[in-house]
Amino acid sequence: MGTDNPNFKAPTRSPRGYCWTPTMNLEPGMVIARPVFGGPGIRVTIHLAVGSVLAASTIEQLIKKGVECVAVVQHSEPGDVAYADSVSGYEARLHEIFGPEPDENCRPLLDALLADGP
Amino acid sequence: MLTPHNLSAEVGRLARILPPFPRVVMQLLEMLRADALSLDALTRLARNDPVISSGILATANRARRIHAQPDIHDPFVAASLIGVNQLRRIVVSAAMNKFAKEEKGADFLFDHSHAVAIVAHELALLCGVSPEKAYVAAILHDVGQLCFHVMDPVAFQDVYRRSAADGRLIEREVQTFGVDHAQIGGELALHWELPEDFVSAIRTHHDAFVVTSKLQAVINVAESLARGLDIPPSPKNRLTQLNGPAVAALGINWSSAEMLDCFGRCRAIFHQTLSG
Repeated sequence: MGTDNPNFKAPTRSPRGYCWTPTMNLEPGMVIARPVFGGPGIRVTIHLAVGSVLAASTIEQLIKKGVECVAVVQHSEPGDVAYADSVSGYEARLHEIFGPEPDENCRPLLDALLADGP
Repeated sequence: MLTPHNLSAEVGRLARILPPFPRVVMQLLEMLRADALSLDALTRLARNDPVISSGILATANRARRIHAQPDIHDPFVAASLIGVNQLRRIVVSAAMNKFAKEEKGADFLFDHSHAVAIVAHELALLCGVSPEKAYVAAILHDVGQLCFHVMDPVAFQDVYRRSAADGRLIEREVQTFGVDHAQIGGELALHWELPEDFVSAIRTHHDAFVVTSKLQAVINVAESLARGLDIPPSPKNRLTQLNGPAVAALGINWSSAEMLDCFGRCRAIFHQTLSG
């Protein structure tokens, strides 16, 4: 998807088929993958169901309501070399952070982060 | 050399040469204690500080410019556009930024403290802890490093640099200064008369076994999780131990769908904060 926003960062792709994206980086046409909520202290009068397609006006509403990030659908294509590279780089980095033999408390977190993907 | 016996007196002496603790953060803590945190109250507090006011306007106007809307100049209108969460974040971040900027070379504190604050906020939402308190306590958790920086910047930078390679920061701090940054930070928090659960959260944020409250557990686990998520990306990020009792006290299941979403939200919010 093309963009004129110089601050736009391409969202990373998750094995679960969606990724959390800063609200400022949303673009019209993106599809909501998780229900939108705003957290405590924010009165969210906008409810977006899974599968809703974002329009410019909806993005504006989300920013106004203080919603900081949204899960949007992001599928990786089979044979996507760039994605495969980012996964292997991510896994190598996690092994660097957790060391060669993570202790029994760290192991479940490492496993979850590996499963979650970059 | 600091010892448990002279720590309190030395921190009292140190507090006189540290920049004054941001009054706006103390007022924010008072609001949190009184459960009086609202958009209006926070905006009234923030508009008295030109740096914070301009931060609020800049955030609101950045969003408006994306949609080709004209800039606004009223902090109350701007605050209503960005919401209480982002407003609170701007207030605390700008105040702490100003606080440490007065100490030349102390900006190392920021990106890590912000990352831990974002993770603490998200964990708190899942674990039934006040996310506002968690955010503020997390912003302050490494304030002990600022003490070392003020005491002996060259020695502290040396400790900090050498620890980036192997993660043995605590050990080297004790060898060099007599105590670690969590101990001296806890003492400073006590000196500043911060709430007891804040003092405990700062004092035990590297402890692998202690749980004193759910807030302390959130800060402890958030400190580890920020490093596990590699935010901010740093060669210093190492995670070789995790406070198991704290994880259990918070009822965390790392592989649950909520926690995987928490990972994604933390990364996204941190990147948004950086680009801001």
